[in-house]
Amino acid sequence: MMSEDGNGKKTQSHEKEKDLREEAAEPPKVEKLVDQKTTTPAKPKTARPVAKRIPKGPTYKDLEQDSILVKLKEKFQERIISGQSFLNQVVYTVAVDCLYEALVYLRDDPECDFDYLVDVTALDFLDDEKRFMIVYHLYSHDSKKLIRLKVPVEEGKVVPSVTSIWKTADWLEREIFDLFGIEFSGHPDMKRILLPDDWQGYPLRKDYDIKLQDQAWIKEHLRITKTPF
Amino acid sequence: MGVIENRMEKNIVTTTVDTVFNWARKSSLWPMTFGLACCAIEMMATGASRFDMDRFGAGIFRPSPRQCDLIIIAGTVTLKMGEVIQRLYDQMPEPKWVISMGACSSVGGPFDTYSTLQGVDKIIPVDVYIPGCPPRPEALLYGLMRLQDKIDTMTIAKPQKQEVSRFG
Repeated sequence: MMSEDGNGKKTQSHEKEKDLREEAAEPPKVEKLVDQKTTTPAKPKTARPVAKRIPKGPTYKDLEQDSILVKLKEKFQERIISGQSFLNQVVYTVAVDCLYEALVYLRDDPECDFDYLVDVTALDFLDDEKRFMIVYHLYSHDSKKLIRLKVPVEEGKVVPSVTSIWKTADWLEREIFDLFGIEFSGHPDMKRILLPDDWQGYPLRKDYDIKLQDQAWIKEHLRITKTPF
Repeated sequence: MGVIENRMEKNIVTTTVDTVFNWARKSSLWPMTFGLACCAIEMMATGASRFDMDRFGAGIFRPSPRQCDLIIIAGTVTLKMGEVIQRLYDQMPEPKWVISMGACSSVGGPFDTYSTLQGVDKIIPVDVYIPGCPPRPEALLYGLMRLQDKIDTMTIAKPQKQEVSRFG
């Protein structure tokens, strides 16, 4: 620190600096905090508690006393494979050959009266003998009931279309055909709906790589000649 | 305009004329309404009053590609839409520029699937990429300003032999 006045002030500031440097050179003093716990004797160790059993999640339970199941079994006997409930949602597993009549019955019977087809979708279980499982959701506006029908279908099988029962099945079944490749017989306009018409392959199948794009279609329509893409 | 371009050698006269042409082009970029997905909302917000795009001269969104010189690809581009984009880009008159707004149009965004084009630059040449999901309106305006800087570097004289310039 330079100062305008004589040497006297300079030395004073130098001394101050020296003192500060000495203080800094010493290690800082730290007060050891006295903890209550260290003074009392340690408790003997108890055994570790056993991990609690993880409770089982919800499972499918067989239906008892279900009026719809009773009626269906009466009519179709063994072709109704099972009726179950999962978290209070009823699911009926039905064979393909009685599918159409069962759905007509469910729509026309005054007690069931399922006038609204909510959705038709499909699942792909790659390893099962019957690869695909088509799922129908039906809703009744009057009795406010929602039921589910599952139909196991093997690959290559042509499923009867329910477009004549509920018109909405038209586009829903086209979507299943587009993404899974399941054909529906008696459908007014069986062709692809989401993907371009000349796309090869069915993307939602489990053996179709999700990143796989139809290179031939891309080359032709998007004029991209460089591959890989 | 096509009569003047690419006729003369580079000289002092064209430098001054270039400034005027570039200033006119960059100050009145007319974009096309091409919002495909969520980025469209941000593009609309940018055109609205708070983040006004019209103060850059780019507030007049034209619905037809034949009347615009900028296309802002805002949103996810599927393969089906890629064909449409190619057709629209071909219909735009020169000089034309492309801003790729958002992650989906730049690189495909989070959708690496069978139906999504992984970046619109695979089918049309892009001038400015704006990252974001979606990019804020300020980001879009910054991208627009960078495009204006890029337009400043253009010239109406003949291009040099080495570079292949898309700007005539």
